[in-house]
Amino acid sequence: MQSAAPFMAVLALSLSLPAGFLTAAEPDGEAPALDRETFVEGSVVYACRNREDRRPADSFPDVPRDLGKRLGKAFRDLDFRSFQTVETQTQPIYKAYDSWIFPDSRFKLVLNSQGRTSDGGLKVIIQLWQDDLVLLKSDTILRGDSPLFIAGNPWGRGRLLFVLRLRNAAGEDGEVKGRARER
Amino acid sequence: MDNPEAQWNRWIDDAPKSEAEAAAFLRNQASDPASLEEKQRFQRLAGDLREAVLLGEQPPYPGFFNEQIRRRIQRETLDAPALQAPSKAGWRQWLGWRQLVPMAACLVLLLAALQTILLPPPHTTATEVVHTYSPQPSLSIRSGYSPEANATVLRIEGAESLPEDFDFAAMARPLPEVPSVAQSLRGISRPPIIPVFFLEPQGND
Repeated sequence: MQSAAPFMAVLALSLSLPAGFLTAAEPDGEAPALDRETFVEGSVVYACRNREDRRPADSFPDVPRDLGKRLGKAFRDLDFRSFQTVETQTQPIYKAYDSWIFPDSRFKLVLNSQGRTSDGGLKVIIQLWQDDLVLLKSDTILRGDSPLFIAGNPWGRGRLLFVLRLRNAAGEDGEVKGRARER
Repeated sequence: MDNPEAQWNRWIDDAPKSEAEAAAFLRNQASDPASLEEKQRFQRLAGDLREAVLLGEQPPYPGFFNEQIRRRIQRETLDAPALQAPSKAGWRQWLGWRQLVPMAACLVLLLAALQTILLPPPHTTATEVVHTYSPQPSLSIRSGYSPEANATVLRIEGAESLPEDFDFAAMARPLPEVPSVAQSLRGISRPPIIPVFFLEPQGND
């Protein structure tokens, strides 16, 4: 019986701990509803390696420096050094309707919201259309300052990239601090 | 102080500490003539030394040497591990360090198991692709996460190259029709109004 004593002591000590763990874990409830000020910013970017492959700067301005750095790191293997904005749009995310980004262009991004996650992410079904073809469908959780980059078709000596980022009404990253508010 | 060197000294001095050791010395003497020769050589040397040294003379500073020897014996006695009676160890014995190591290991394992079971997955701030595919059989999608950019990346492989004069903004076809509740009700004509009269039945009072 003497050899069982240490084990029993450890077991008793361990069984007294789960109370703290249980209070730390939040129960999974229903996903909070969307906020009214939820927006998604979509950008189409032309990326290329060499300066001579760049598009005219007056029609295709350079992307913001921070975004350019991120794109360079994310596509490091493709060695892109120039990133130019083809088009940028910010669209609200609706609770019951699809949100269309670049609706009158040949490439369209369609976002169907599935609501918020408990940690403030936005669950969306994303479709990328080229004319009347769907190139991609994706179930994605968009979060705060973490964009989604989609490498699309080659264009000339470069490639089209699509960028999706959460935004709020103030144009900042749309992460919900704490728990999302109920509508 | 029972080490091979001390035993060797006792063998040379012919002073075994016990009967068993004396028997061992005798066996060794019979089986190892080389060591017997060594013993005899040392004994001759000791005899020569005894003859050479004046036995009656007092060694210098005897008190100092005796004190040093006494202190050394005392230090060795204190350094030796004290034997503890089992009755005094008692109930605290199982809390000794030999038991603490497996106890700590058990505790760590249990905590790790509890953490895995009870705690929610660590909070992630990264955009997460749960599922992705392309309806076009000629296309394939690769997804990944770039920690450096804190961005999730989808790559469409096999998409056709766009012509050099591709105009992104030019709409090739009108938007696909998106059915909505308002649109679906728009084509329905209003039904005719049919007057209905309810007459109270007249009973015989």
